[in-house]
Amino acid sequence: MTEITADVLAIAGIYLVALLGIGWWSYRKTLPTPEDFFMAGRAFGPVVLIFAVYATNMTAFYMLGTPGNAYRQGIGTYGYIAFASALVIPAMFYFIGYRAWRVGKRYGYMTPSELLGARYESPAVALVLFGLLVVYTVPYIVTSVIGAGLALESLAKIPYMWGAAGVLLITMLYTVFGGMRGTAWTSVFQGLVFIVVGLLAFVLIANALGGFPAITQKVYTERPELLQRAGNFDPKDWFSFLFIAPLAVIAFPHVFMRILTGRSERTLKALTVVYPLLFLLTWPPVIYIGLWGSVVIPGLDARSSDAILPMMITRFLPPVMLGLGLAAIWAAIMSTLDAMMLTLSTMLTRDLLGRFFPGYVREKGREVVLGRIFIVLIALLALAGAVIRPGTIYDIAKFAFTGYSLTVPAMLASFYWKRSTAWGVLASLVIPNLLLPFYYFTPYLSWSTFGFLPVVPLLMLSLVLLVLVSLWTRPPSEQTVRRFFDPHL
Amino acid sequence: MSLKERLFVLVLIVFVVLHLDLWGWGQIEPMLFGWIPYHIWYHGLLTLSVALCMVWLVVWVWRRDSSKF
Repeated sequence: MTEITADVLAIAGIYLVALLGIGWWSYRKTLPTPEDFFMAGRAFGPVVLIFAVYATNMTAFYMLGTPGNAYRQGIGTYGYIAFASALVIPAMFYFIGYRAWRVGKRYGYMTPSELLGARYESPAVALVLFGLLVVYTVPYIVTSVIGAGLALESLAKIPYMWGAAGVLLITMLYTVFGGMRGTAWTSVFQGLVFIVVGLLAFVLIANALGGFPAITQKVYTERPELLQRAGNFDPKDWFSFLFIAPLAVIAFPHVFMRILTGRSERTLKALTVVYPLLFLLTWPPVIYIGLWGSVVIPGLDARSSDAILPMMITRFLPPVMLGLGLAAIWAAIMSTLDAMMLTLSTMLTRDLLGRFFPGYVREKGREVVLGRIFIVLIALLALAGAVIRPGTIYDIAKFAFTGYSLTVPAMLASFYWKRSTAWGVLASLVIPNLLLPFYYFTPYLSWSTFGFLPVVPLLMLSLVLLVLVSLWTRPPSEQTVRRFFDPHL
Repeated sequence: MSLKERLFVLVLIVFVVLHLDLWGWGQIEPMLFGWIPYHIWYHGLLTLSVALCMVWLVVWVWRRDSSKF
């Protein structure tokens, strides 16, 4: 798309060196204990936690997919994704995150499977949840790496594999060395990069196009349908979406684990209040850039329009902004990738090896060493996925968000319904998740959606199964239930 | 779930209804300052209201104290 100039290379280089520096600093600060490596001592204050969670939540979709969506479907992109997220995610921070944080801090749980397995005194619950989260997270990691490679190829003409491998290598290095502390502090830096660059591009592009009113009036004249929702969004889809991406976020193991790293209740309260405001601050700029793109660079197909933000930067701003734009896209991708790699390594170390070989894993500080080895192995797996690009990866990624959402009823029940049982939770996890691919790849169950997205009937089924099977089976011991419901915890 | 938490859930449901906004589905006007169409200022105001609702949540609903740890 454009030649790489010395300016672009310099900015990208500074960005990558800064990440490695933060990784090295975190390595020096991190003790070789599981609590410190995987959870940073559960001592993050409000600023670090807010950025750690928000930057992890924002992926390449925020920098590329969102403006692309606004280019095609218009201004409603804000309400559809950003407002839905601003409403549901903080509420889930309170209903699930806060309670998980309390029991996590008290009893040392780190992963969702560890916590739910203990709540229901059931290794089966822990293993099933572990399996589901791994199945949905691995494709997410691989598609992030593929996305990074494709973005760099289309924006800066860096060969696909060089881009994918480079992003993966840098991310792996600071994650292996810095652990949770490294990934959280790099998230602060990365979050600042993509927020500031997004705002800067918004103002400068508007200025280059004659000011905010002039360019928006041009959209009003030439593409008025993009300034409203009729014809661009379906109300049933609009409603259903509340239960996909926004509800899924609390079930992302990489977000869940980060919430457990908060220092105090005050930290979690700050996260809950600030979160909606971050959506209001950061989403309109990229949506407007996509919207304006529809009239100044018209006629792009769906795939090309996902590059509308870098196209607008290249077309209307000085070359130095392309370097910043690249850094911002990297920042959005890497801040999610590092968290997923660390979380998956924590789950493999604790939920899998820790369950079957507890003595070996916990001896002589092996947990941290194993965690680091797993990060390298996950990076190699992601690299292999980026080379092969198997179709199944995309297939699973398509319904991964719905799959994550289907674990939320079990999480809610564990904190709000004493009578819920391991069998009820297993039924609510296994059956809807087995049906999920049938909704996406076959026509057999489409009659049951009534025009909504599959997540709606599947969530209802999950709830019904949870309640009915729980009422027919024996709940965990009173002592365990008390541990999770004790008001003086 | 406490009474206050149930009230909070009720407020969330009200926000969901306001978010559906079927009455303004195809609306563009009024366009604030010549560049902020109905959808953005309406949902922008809703987002600010959600932030205020979260303030209410942490002050009135969420009362426990971390000093126990």
